[in-house]
Amino acid sequence: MTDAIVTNRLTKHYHGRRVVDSLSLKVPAGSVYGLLGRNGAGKSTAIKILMGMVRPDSGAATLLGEDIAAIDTATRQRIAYLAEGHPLYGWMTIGQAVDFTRAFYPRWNDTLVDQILDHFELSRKQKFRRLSRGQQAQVSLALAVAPDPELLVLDDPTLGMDTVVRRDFLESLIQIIQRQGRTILFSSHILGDVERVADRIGIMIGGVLRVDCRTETFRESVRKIVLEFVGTPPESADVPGLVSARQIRNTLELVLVGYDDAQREAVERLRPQSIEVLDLNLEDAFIEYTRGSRRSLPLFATELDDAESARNQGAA
Amino acid sequence: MQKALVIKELRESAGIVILAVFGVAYLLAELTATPIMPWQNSYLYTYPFVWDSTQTYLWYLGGALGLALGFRQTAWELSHGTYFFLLHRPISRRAVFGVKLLVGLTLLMLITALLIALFTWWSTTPGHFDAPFFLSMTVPAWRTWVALPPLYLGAFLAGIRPGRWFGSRLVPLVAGFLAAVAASNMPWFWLSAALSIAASTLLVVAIFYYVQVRDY
Repeated sequence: MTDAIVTNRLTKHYHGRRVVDSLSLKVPAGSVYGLLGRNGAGKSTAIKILMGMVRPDSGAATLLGEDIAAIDTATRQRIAYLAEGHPLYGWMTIGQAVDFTRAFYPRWNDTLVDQILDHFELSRKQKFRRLSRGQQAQVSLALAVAPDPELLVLDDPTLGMDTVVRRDFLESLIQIIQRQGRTILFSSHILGDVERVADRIGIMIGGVLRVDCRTETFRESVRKIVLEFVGTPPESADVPGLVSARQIRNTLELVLVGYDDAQREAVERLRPQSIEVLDLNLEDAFIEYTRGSRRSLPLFATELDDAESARNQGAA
Repeated sequence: MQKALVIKELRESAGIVILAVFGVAYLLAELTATPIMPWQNSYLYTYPFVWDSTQTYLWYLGGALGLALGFRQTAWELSHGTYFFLLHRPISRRAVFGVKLLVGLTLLMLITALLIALFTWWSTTPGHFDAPFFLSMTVPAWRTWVALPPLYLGAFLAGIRPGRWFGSRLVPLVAGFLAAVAASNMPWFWLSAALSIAASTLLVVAIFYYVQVRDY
């Protein structure tokens, strides 16, 4: 399988702060990749670099096999980008926005646009500035998929939507993905969205891509170990793959990446009275993982490709 | 696709153009002593284009129009984030900004030329004042007209060029203004035109450089 997106040590500084730090990732063609991270983690900047809106200080990247620094118009016709906040011209009606956008693409599916607009009960006569945030996202989605792009890049597409609209939007997105088998890269900080859609996830923390693996791999790997002690728990826990440790009265909660024999032995050496191993859902796993100290976070390297990816990260 | 861009730029400049046309009507009323407002004079004190305020009014009109168009076409898009929509389209940035500049310059030059042309037409129509009139009397006004592009381009560059603080961001605008003043004060029309074209070329080169290298 070829890779639709390849980045190699992309780095960007703003005012002396490294907001994207040696980002190396590969998004296989036909996959749905969810880029996660808390606010300010560098997701949007990374996407803007890929879309040519921000120039990296160092590193390189290719989209559909073409260097982002010299991407031609023919390749750009095969890539759709939904920027954060769905910026569009407020004075345009939906019909004007469709006409304006259509002028740039030799291939344009008007039927699909009409289907999406009908599905969301949007009229071409409505002015963009009078639409709700959710409706603006729906129009942006219609405009993005009409040229039948091979690669869709969405920067926090559900930002500011209420739960119902978000669910509806995502279901439409899933239908579009299933229909065409496109490659999709999307960023989000809502884990439920990612869980429903993404095959693979990447988690950025402090500009560094700390996780790059299959969604299930991440969910299954992050575990919470609850240790109960007779007296006061030990102040420190020297356990491989430790993400965070929290002491609550006579219990010690450890969040670990993986739980193999070596980790089990390390936990038993702490001599707890009881050990309880809890599986986390994606949201809890994400929260526990991103809450940990940035520098000490273990990187995910569970598959051959992931291992290579992890080695390429600057902070590894 | 260029046609779509031209229509978009014209539509976005429509409000400014309407205001400018009102400005032309107001200034023409002032120059021809044909009051359309209660406070305007109804007596012509000077000969047209000779000792009147044509050049000053051209500066007012061209300056305001150039600044408004330059910033509307650049800073407005930046502040609304619409560059993320526009610049991702499969067309080169040079073409996108080339269309913006072409539309902006055309509007600026047409509207300011309209003031001179209408005032010239009024001046050549018999019965308006007791003196001979030669078209050569309009040359100083055309010198000011030809000097206006650097002012617009300076505003355009100020709107697109990143700056650490407000003051340094306005440097291109100041440079464009100084170039326009210098060009309008040249003794001959051709020299004004040459200076204006030289300054404009430098500003356009800087604009195309910054649109390629800046972060959006």
